Amino acid sequence: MMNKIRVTLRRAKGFTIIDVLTGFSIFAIAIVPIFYLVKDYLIFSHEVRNRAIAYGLTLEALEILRNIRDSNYVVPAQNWLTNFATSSCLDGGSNYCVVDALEYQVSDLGVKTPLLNDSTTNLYNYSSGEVSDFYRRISYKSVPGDPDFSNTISVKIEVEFPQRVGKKEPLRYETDILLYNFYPNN
Amino acid sequence: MRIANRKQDKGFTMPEILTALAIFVIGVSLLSQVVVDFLRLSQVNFDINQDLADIRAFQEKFTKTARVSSIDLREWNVTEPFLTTTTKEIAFYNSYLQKKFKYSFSSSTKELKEYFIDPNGTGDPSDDIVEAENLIISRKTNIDDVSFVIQNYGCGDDSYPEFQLNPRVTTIIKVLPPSSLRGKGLEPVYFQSTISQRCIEGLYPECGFQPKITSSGTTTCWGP
Repeated sequence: MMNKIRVTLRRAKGFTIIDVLTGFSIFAIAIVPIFYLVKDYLIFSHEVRNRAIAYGLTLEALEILRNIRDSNYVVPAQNWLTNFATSSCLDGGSNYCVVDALEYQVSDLGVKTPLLNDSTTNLYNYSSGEVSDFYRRISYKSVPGDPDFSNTISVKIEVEFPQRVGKKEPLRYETDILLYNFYPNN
Repeated sequence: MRIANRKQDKGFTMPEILTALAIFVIGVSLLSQVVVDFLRLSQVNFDINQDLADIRAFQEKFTKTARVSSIDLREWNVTEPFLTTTTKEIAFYNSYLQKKFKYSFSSSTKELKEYFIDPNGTGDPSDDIVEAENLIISRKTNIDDVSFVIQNYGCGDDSYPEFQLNPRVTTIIKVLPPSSLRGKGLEPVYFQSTISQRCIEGLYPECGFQPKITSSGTTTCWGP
């Protein structure tokens, strides 16, 4: 029986090892891009989530600043930029100015500081919680004709967040917006 | 070369067939895993987009209300002008529209609802719902929790201490990883947004309460 198989194998002249290796190589070459596609897809999903969070944090900072401005109107004879820390948060300086949902004032922390995520409320803030991957910085510029921010202030909000797994360079959302004093004569 | 051999062999040999089958099985098993992974990740991406769309839909409605309404502090029996509180539901009162709104997330059903409440009722929103709830998110979703952090600046109007001006509401929406990927090291994501009332005199006429700045520079509050 074994002899018969051996004879058959010899006659059959089946695949050589080169044939098999070539076949495997072609298969491997074909399947590698598919694996990369799947991996990229997962990484991209992760990045989409980070972008959505960063977008929310950018708009949040803007909303908080507007709320501080509006609250200044409620207090009698209060300057419209009280609690903005305009003198210490000018664009281009060595400051690192922040504001969060729990505060009514902008603070200069001096060094780059990540947002914390409170494990109880899940709130991104600067008071308590675990260090997050997100950074948010606020700075100001004056507009032509209004160097002392009498009626208008240009606000820059930068939110930095991790790009994707394996990439060291962070992504950054940068928003410049003008805030106006609605009651300049008061 | 192989074709010539096969002609001579008059058909495939058993080892050829077995080798081919083995390669085929290995290939199919690897490919099937890739296809399964790809389908799963397609579902993940679909879920993420759906969750973001749900969150946007909620935020749009919520913003429309919060911009021009006062937070009803009777919900929590608090009259302090400064307030920081975290809650699973929040109620607003708009004196111009004479309407009270409530947003509530049910942890059990995972539904996010908007209610219209009788502003002249007992003050307990659960008793005073006059219109059927308006479901914002009711279908199956990965949104697991919604909470509100309220910062309230106040206005100091003694006549209406329960309706404060310039409140700010931060909404935190907890989104779980898609069900197929839970327990595989992926953490929940928290989407955070803040909306504040914008009732500045002359800016939004639909604001019932507005800070009014007098000619002398002092501020008083308008009542309903």
